[in-house]
Amino acid sequence: VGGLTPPWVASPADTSEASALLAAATEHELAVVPRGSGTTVSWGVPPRQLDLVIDTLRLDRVIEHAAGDLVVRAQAGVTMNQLAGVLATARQQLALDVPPRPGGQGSSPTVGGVLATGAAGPRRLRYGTPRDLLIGITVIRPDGTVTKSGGKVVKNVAGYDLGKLYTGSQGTLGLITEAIFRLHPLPAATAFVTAGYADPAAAAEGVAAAAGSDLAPAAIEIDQPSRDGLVRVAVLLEGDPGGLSERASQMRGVLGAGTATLDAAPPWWGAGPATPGSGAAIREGSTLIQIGFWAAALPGVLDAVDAAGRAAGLDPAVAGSAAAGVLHAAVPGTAAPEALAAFLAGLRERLARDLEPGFAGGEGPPARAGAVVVRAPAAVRALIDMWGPVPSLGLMRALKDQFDPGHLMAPGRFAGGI
Amino acid sequence: MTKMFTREDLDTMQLLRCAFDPAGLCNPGKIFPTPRLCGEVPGPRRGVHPIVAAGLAEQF
Repeated sequence: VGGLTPPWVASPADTSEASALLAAATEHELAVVPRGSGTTVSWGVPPRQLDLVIDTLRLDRVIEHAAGDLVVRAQAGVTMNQLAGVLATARQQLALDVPPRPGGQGSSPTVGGVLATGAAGPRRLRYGTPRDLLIGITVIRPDGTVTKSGGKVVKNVAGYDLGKLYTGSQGTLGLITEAIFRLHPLPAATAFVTAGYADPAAAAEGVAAAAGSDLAPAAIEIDQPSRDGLVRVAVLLEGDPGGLSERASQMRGVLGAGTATLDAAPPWWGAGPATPGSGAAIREGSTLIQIGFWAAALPGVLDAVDAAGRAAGLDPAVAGSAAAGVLHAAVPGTAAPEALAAFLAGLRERLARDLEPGFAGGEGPPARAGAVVVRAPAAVRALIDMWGPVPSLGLMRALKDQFDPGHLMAPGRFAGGI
Repeated sequence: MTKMFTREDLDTMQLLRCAFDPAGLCNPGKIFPTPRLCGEVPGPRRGVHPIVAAGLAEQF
């Protein structure tokens, strides 16, 4: 994990084994990092200390699939592919796209890993992110206490919905062992409408027009491998086969010139940013930056990336769910760490200055855009602040103190050294 | 609530509350069956209530 090798690895087979394991680890003050398939283990900051890796892959049972209720209960080590296979037998799906992986291959991420990272792909526009689809969760607290929150009914309202807290917590609050998700039917048919634009501003207009249309796109993705190249936009339409071709042709009209309708996703769909020539820029060694923003601010965000890239002498590849307000920028590992630090600083400054004047590190209203480094090589990490300004960090620290008083769960993985 | 969630589950929800509202001042008793403060032992109250003991009130 992040260059550290743990002296111990344990692989519990059920929740009670995991509970006993965590209790023992806390008793001996061992720093614990949970791990699923390891597809995103290189994300973020390495832990300050690492004594024990808890491998969840033996927690691999889909416990209950209530097809009539559109609900599934699965253990944390179930992979997303495995889960999709089970759900497909009832023509259902957990509508989360598997996040981009280094090298684009390897095993599928686990349910627990997807929750701990809060990762989502193109269809977040229609279906939301893991936190939106999670309705119940079982988490083992660092002292070994097994706790549940939520339930297996979609409209459950009792108690605090702690699942939202654990989603994206990077394993810093406890070990996720089970999750209950709401499901969606598999769409009867899908179509992709693609368009190419010479300049980013036109592409942003196309994205806004597609998002504002009444054609109900399930996802709108943008891909700009290089600042001089074509900016590609693709829209996913889902629904009844009868109406789909008409919706697709209307969507082509909305997007403007240079459009096409495809039956399958274009190769770059959901793959993350990739620079031409270097292949997938999201491979190990590259730096991946996630920019979250108000969807209407897309043109300003593209400008900011471009300007910051020019100022730092870099040409970052940009891709992401433009209409949902999430973009990723990638810079290959061959770039100088100093240039990357300059790019990040310039990007954050422009996002703060151009989109939301007055926002400075926790003061004032929430920012309209922010940049967080998802993954970076050690030489780059040494020069930058991965998280940028994080409002409400004090509250997050208070939560960490309550849930993990010994600071033994993935110490240092989260913002502010949490 | 106590039928749906175990004591550990409710304690965990209290951890969240303690982080946001350490003094338990925000709408106490609204969500959870026994208004618990951080560190307070859950369960029904035992013994004579202080204001009964002081002769200020009567308990039926």
